[in-house]
Amino acid sequence: MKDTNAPPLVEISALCKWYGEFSALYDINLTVARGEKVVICGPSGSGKSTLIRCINQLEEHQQGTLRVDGKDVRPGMKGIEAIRREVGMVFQSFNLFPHMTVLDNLVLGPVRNRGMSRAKARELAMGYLEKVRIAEQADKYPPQLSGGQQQRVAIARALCMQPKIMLFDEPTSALDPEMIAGVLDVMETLARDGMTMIVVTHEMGFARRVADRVVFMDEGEIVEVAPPEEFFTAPRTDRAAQFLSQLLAH
Amino acid sequence: MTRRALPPAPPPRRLTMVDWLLFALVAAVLAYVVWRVNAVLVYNWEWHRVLRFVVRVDPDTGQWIANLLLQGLFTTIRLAFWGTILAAIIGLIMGYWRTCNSLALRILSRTYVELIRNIPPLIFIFIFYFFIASQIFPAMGLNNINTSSPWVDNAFFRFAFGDPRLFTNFLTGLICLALFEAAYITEIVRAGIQSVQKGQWEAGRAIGLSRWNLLRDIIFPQAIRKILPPLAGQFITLIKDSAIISLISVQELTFLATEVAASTTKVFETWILVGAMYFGLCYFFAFVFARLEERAGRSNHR
Ligand SMILES: Nc1ncnc2c1ncn2[C@@H]1O[C@H](COP(=O)(O)OP(=O)(O)O)[C@@H](O)[C@H]1O
Ligand SMILES: [Mg+2]
Repeated sequence: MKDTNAPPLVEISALCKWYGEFSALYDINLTVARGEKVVICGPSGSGKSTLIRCINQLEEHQQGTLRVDGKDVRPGMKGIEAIRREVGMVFQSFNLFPHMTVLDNLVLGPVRNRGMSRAKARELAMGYLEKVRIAEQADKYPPQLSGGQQQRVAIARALCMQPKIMLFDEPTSALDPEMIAGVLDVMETLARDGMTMIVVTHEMGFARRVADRVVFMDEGEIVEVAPPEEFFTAPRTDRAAQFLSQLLAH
Repeated sequence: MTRRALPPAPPPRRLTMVDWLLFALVAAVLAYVVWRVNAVLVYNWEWHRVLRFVVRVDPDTGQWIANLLLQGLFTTIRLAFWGTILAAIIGLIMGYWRTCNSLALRILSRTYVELIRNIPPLIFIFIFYFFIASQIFPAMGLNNINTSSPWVDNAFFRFAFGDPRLFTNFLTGLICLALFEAAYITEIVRAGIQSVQKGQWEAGRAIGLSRWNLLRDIIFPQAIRKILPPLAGQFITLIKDSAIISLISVQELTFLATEVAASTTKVFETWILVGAMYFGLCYFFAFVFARLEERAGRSNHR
């Protein structure tokens, strides 16, 4: 099924980023193939968010090269919008547009960016709302929904742009425990449908079921990359082992 | 399941003894002031001489028509209406510039705001009048508008801008007022834009919206909802501030009232009447804005 001639969806090499003098990312090398699912984990402040936010340039890197879908992505470049349209992103805090109905949240992207008619965009949006099992809430406003429902709407909103890759930044960290399963479920369905995904999460069960590779980060560097089973049972580095023992202690 | 009981009705709001005392005190002070004015000030109240300047009978047609004071009120309303629109546009653009990435635009808008906020309005108005209005308008050919051209000499123009012969005069006052008020609106708009959460910008950028669409669909609508109350206050301030442009001979309510007061010598009647007119106008707009806010609040599902 995979198109072997197409370039990898994301190619990052020797990427560095500083906040002022603080080195947030250092010498990051990571390639994500089409259809691949990568889980990123690591302690708080290790640069996980910064890394995936560089991919759609919500943060600008300062050194190294970044290619998305074969196209060079440079900080401050013109036409970054076109690249962002191929990259869906889901935030920890949902970031739905509170002044628009759920349906309008979804319709906005396709109508403004792809010049799709409103009627067609609604059809598309309703399809995705059904997919995340929330179609009956289409006419409500986001603040009227629970956290889990909002996060599923946020996933549908990103999907509405029909992206080639989805980035998730701790999508379940802000949720009440009983809401987490619903969101992870939707993400697993998405993975099964063949979406390329980079997921920052500490949900080990999800990582085991879905990930092709786990990337472990610490202090702005990639410390270890391994298949999930191997990473969770026998981490190669001390730092990863220490992190996992802390995770399990919870 | 039995239905739960409704909560008990809140006790009716009654004026307490203290409230009545307070009212009585205020009434006593007022009565004293009136008594003082009557006893000490020998003044012959002649309201009819001033009221004549509100409306008068046209000797040719025998119909009631607006006289100076009502004409002035109309001009003030026109100034308020167009001034609000113009100031809102300038304030919106400048307010956005205050927050945008371009350093040049930030410096420009900041300079504008600081200049106007730190010069007394009176002096700003004189400077504007002497340098801008009397130098640049003539250069633009605005001083010799053909008042009999069909563009200008029609019912709509008269309704919207008043007497065509006074149009340059009106425009001077309008731009001056709008520039002045827009500096304050700029700061309100800036605060509104900055009050929108960072996550909203990021979500908009993440779905690939252009900067313009992001502002139009996501940032401005949320900012406007938050700034509606201070914005309404600023528009009412604009109406009150419009009195100051009487100093550059714009024929609005205060300017014409000065003339009426001088020609009738009925100073007290004139200014009490004009004060009541301003109060009515501002109170009316305050009421309208309060209703608008209520409606915006209802559609704001937070
Ligand atoms: N805008 C910023 N300015 C300065 N420092 C930042 C900024 N964003 C993140 N950082 C710092 O960069 C480091 C990595 O942050 P982040 O990528 O959010 O970590 P993670 O997502 O792994 O918790 C942290 O130490 C954080 O304090
Ligand atoms: Mg993070």
